[in-house]
Amino acid sequence: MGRTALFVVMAIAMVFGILGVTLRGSSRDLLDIHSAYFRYTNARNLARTAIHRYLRYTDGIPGHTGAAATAANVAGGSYDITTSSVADTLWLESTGAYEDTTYQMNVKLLFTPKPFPKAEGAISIAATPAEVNWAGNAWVDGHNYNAAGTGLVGWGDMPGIALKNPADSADIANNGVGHIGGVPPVASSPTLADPGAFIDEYEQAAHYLFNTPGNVAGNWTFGNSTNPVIVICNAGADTNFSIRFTGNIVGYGILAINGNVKFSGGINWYGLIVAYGQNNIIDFQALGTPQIVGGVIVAGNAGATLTLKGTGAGGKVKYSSEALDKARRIGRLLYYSVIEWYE
Amino acid sequence: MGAILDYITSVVIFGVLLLTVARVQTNLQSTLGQSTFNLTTQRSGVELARQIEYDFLKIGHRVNGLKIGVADSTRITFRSDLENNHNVLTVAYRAGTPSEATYSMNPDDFPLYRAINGVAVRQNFGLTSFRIWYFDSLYNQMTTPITVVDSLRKIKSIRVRFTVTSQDPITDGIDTVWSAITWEKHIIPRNLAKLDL
Repeated sequence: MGRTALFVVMAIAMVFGILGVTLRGSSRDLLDIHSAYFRYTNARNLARTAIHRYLRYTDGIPGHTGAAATAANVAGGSYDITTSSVADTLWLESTGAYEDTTYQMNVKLLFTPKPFPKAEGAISIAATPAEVNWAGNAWVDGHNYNAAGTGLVGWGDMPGIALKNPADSADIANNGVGHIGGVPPVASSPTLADPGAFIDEYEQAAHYLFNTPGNVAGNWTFGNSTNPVIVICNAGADTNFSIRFTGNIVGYGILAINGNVKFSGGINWYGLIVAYGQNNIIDFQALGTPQIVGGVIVAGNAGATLTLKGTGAGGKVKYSSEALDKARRIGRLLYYSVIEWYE
Repeated sequence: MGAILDYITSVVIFGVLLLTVARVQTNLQSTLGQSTFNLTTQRSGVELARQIEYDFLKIGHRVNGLKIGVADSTRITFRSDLENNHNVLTVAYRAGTPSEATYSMNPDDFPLYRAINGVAVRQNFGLTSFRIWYFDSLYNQMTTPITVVDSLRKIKSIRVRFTVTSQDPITDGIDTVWSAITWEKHIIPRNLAKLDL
């Protein structure tokens, strides 16, 4: 009897034991399923993070300057990314890894510059009425120069000054005799784009901002031909106050000017200058050979005036489609269109 | 007399003990069954979720022209280079009807059909609900079925929701319980949306 009872108890214990083990196994399997999905989604997020992070470094937005990391540890996982590019096309292969799970993305993107105001001459004036004043040896040439401003490319010549309001063209042509060259020297273009709409974006994406009237000492180099930048000089509407650069300035990209800005040293700007204030005075005071290669656009503020002063060997504005095209490729003004995305 | 009373008492106690053990075992088996169904249901749900993500995220990959051919609330047909081997396939999803799920004790579940280039495979996940919504570039929900080509071109993102239920009930003698899992996701296939990064 006692032995039978012992067997019964052992059998019951075994049944409970088997049930307990099965239950624990079932719970563990359930956890494994959810854990696997969690690892999978984390690995995918890391692969995406790698792509977005790489692009932000390419943009050069604040906090993301320098070369983008090709591998990094993030949020308990890691990613690595390989890239290659030809002209405007960029290939990215990104792999996110979280514990034992990996996730891969193959992406083909097209670099596209954001809309850019079109310069229809060496100087384009969207303001009506327009007024351009000349002093000294400042002169403007609408012939198409190369990006360095050292020679003509032989095609794509533009007017020296393009105006939105045809009524202003005669006055400006008469006023600028001896200062304007181009094909023709002065022309009207009713469809001239107003760059005013772009200023907010330029201010937000600016690499350099000067907004306090006074002297800016020292020599400055803003960007280079392959890495153009945005520089904002905001001296305010009152032309009694000015921002005055006393050293030599070399810059590539977009220079947005509001108010009275003087370059008493040499200036060589390659790209676009946007004058967006009510009264803009761009004053070349140097005795050397200051020049703007690309174009100048005056925003459509009513009553805007542009005064170009050139002393010494003169201030030159040379139209250059090449320099303008390079200026469009500022990282912060680029976006990336998806051509192919495989994940 | 005393010995007989002892026997009777021990038989009664043994009987009570046996009944208790039997009841505990029934409960344990019910819990085990519930756990097993939970496991199966959740595994099915996760598998279907990953399959949908795998397929839907690739909609339109290397496709010229119309990327989505059929867009209805319970079915979709799209084209994609699914294996990234320059071979564009036509992929179709269609929810079946409960009458097609004769294999299951669940009166509400239905199979899901996934077809590649017209060759359909019936998938018995135990679906009791399967719904697809379509959105344009402004995330406005589009009315289904979408049949006009211009409207099909406007589809930029897709939301999918499904419920997987166990194909057999868990009965504890009092209630009948079905294990279930619901999954929902708004999917933006990058090749459809062409988002700017």
